[in-house]
Amino acid sequence: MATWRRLAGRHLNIAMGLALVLLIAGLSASAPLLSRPDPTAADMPNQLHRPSRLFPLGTDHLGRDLLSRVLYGGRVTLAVGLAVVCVTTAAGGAVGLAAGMSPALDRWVMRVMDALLALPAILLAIAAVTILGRSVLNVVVALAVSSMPRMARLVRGSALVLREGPIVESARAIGAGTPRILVRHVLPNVVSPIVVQGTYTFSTAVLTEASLSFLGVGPAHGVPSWGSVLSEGRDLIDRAPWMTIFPGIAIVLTVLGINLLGDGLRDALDPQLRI
Amino acid sequence: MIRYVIVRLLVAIPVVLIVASLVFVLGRVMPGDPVAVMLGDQGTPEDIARLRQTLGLDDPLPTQYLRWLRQALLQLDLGDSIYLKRPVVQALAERIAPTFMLTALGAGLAIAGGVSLGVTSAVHRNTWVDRVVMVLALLGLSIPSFWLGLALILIFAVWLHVLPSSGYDGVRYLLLPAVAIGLSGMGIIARMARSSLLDVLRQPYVQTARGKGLTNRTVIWRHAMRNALVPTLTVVGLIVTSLAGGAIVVESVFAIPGAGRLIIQSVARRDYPVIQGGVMFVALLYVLANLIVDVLYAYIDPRVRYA
Amino acid sequence: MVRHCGHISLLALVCVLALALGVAGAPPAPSDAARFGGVLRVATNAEPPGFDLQLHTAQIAFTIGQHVFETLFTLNARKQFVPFLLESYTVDADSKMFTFKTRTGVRFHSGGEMTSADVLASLQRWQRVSGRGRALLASLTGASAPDATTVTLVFSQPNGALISALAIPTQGMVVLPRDVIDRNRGADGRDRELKGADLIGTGPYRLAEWLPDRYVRLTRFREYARRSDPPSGMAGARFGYADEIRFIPVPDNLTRLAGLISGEYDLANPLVPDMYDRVQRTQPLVGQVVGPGGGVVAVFNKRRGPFVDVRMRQAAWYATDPKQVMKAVSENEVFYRLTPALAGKEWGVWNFPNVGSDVYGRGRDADRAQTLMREAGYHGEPIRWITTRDFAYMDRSSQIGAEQMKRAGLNVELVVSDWATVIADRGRPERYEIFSTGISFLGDPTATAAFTPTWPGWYESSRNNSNYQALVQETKPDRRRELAREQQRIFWDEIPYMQWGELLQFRAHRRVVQDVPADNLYVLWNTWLEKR
Repeated sequence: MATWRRLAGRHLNIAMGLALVLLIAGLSASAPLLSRPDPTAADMPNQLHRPSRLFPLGTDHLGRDLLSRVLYGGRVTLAVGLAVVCVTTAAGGAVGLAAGMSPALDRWVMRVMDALLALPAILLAIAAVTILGRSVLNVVVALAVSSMPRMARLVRGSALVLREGPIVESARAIGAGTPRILVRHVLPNVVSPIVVQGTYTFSTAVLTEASLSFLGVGPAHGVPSWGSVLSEGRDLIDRAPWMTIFPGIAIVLTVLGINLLGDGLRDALDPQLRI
Repeated sequence: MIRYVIVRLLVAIPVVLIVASLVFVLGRVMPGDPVAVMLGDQGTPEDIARLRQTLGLDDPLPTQYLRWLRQALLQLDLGDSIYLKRPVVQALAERIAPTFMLTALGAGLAIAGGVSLGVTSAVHRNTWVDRVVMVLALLGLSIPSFWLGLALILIFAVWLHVLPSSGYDGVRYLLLPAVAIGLSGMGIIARMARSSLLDVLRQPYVQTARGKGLTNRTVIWRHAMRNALVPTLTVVGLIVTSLAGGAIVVESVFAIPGAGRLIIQSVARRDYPVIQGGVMFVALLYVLANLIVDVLYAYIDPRVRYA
Repeated sequence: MVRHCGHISLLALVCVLALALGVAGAPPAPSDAARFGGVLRVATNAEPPGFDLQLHTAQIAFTIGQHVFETLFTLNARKQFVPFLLESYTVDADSKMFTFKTRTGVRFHSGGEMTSADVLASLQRWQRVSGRGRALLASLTGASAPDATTVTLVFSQPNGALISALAIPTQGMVVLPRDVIDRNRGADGRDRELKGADLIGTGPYRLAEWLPDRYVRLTRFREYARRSDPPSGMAGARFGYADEIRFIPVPDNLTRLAGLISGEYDLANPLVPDMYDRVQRTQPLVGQVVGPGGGVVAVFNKRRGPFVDVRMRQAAWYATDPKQVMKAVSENEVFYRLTPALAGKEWGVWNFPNVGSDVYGRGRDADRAQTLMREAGYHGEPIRWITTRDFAYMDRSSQIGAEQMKRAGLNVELVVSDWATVIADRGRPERYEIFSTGISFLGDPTATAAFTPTWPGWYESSRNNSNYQALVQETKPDRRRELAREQQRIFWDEIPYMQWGELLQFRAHRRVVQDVPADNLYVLWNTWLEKR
């Protein structure tokens, strides 16, 4: 019984987090199948309806179903988040590994990472987007560049520890070359911190993208993300609060879920890091 | 100690150089002609060519790069704002006070709230209090600051008429915005404080103190807290950056005439010198803040000085 | 001559009958209870780029600046152009020679007295730095100041638009001291923008302090030469009751309203129509719905692309439904008028509510649209519509307009960026096919830049050009009215831009503020504060 309690407690975070994330992601992904109104089609007679049976989250100033917009918006926001995680992991991981395995590169690479850490993500993203253009690619790159230092630092730390450790020593002793060492021995041990850090990168990306879209400097595309759906309701916040409440809740639940997942994974994968 | 400070300073220099270079690259990569933007509809091709020459935009890139480095880092001249027609440094300096106050207030809230919550949680480890506080902390760092800001304005200023919603004529104008940005920091610090306090409480010397018969409270306050706060201090450095980022957004929502709002307005106005200068400025501030934190850290924990 | 049309430029520029809620028809005259003193705090939505009014086109520049600088003519409550800084004027029979007699005793904020030399220097500078000035004075052959109170202007062609143009405040002909003008000219003769201590005018308030992004502070000018005739619209006596007027930029709409509710501000202009209900429910506030408004508009690129062909423009028009577009812009119908008129009804003689109603009143006619598209040979070429989120009416009208056009078979793509980009891109014919903006009637049919061939959109129609030229030269009021009616007819035949309706403005103030004008020009020199 006590074991169950302990196990359940340990994995509760993972379970809840996963449940939240899968629910939201699942709903968003299956949005086209849910036979709800077109999120971009104006329907003026239904302008600014309160939440009701027909429109569970209400409608906006153009009569568009807010539930549709939140679901489709989720696809955009989550896709951006995922893209940022991938780029961050690839770039940050590569940089961190290189720094960890080679003392010569280490010093300079980490200085650059320090420099990147000095810039608030949103500031860098705003500057990049203004100067380079408001595309999804630019936003993803800007956010990835901001998240890269932490990932690099993490991977470097693990790589350093491992480099000095017995595993790599023995591998070298039997004559294994560096690439082989990297792939066969270092990488598998670095995966868990990367995964955990990846979840935090994801949640930060979602929050920052929402802020960018809210400020009007997010990617300019057809179907908006949660941040821009939120910003459309800004002037109407008194008249139609549901336009800002529901996208906000979607963001909060998603980020909460991802963070729970991250916490749970960290507890499960590396007890020493446990909070 | 002095040696440590000097070493940290030296280390900071390459960081600053790299940031300056990044900003330079960003500025030169931009599409379109800043000079054409400056002159607007009235500019003729001769005007544009003349102005380019005056501004030194036709010089080879390395020359421009060195000039930028010299200007920005040695002379502290970040150029002139196109829209405001005054030096960027002056424009930023005029507005830095509200941003600084806001970030400080937000950090204060985050630290005070976070530490108390974290300690409470650690002391009541694994009870429902602990769970609830930790979930609240997690919730706090999952809420977007602009959303919270809007909600706060709506509730406190429009519905309840209790607090002012905009402007800056005193500290009470910063209360709502400070809460908006401090909440996520509070969450992070609460978690951090709880974890490090728990680590400390496990240490042998704490057990010894308990063994000596000291009450729990004395143990916690006198022995554990000081050591537990040290890792928290390192987090503060990271917090400052994210608080500054939050301030940028929140200043727009609350109409606070700070540096963050200036940068956002400059984006809308295509005032490139301010955007570049603003990024540079914030980065320098961050490096400085981190330096201070590092020095404080070394002061509190002598072991660090010799690392 | 490009107007920075936008949310704020939906204000027309001259006096108009009040549409204020609860305010009676006649323009308010200062009551006997009016008292001097106090500080008026006005929350606005933008930061001014500067106060060189001859140069800047941004609305906020002259919303504030009109208290500091004055023009030769201005508009009274009956929408007549009357002399203001002039004592009188004469025009010769051919309307080629204008003789202005300036008022005496008008003081500048720097202390000197205004003479004909100052007026002449101001006119010449205006011609150099302002697009509008250049256009209006293009046929000027001689300008002189024979004595201290006389200015003479001679044109090679009859100039029927001069008086009204000199009254219109956008890039307006404000009178500046000659020494200020002279010391702000470079060796090459180019004029520098006036800044700081050189911002000297004749108005009832002087520019005391400008902290960018914080506030602009105007203080009463004690030596102001007040006219003796009673206030009427922009004309007549300007009392300057408030000791000080402060304009505070508050970009966020909700924050601006919240500040008004909580008493941080005394007036807020503009407010968004979405906040109407809240203002009505809040006891200490008085809301004003103000006309005439500005047109909610989308301009076609008539230089290249599918919309060079008038049939395509008509097709696009018939694809959209003005009723739905305006409803999307403002849920509350009190804020807009569905009318083909280019000038709102407050403009009296310029308002033609029926001209073009055959085109306007059709609503959505998808069949007609498709027939026209076929005739024009449209085969799905992409149509880029540049718009912005920065102004709610542009954002909303373009979203619904684009969608209606798509349903009719036009391949429209909305390109959303910020206002600065839209302004920059609309000058480049290769960048768009349609752009969103707001267009207001400014007091005279020749003042609407959209009818000139050089304005973005490039309206190069011979029928319109000859009508426009005739308007510039015609001086007889009846004949001008006929030409203006003809202008509107040509507009609806050729549809150089789509105008779905007239959007009125919304603003509010606290009850303790008295005599707030209910017209678009929002002048506060006769507004006073009750004792708190």
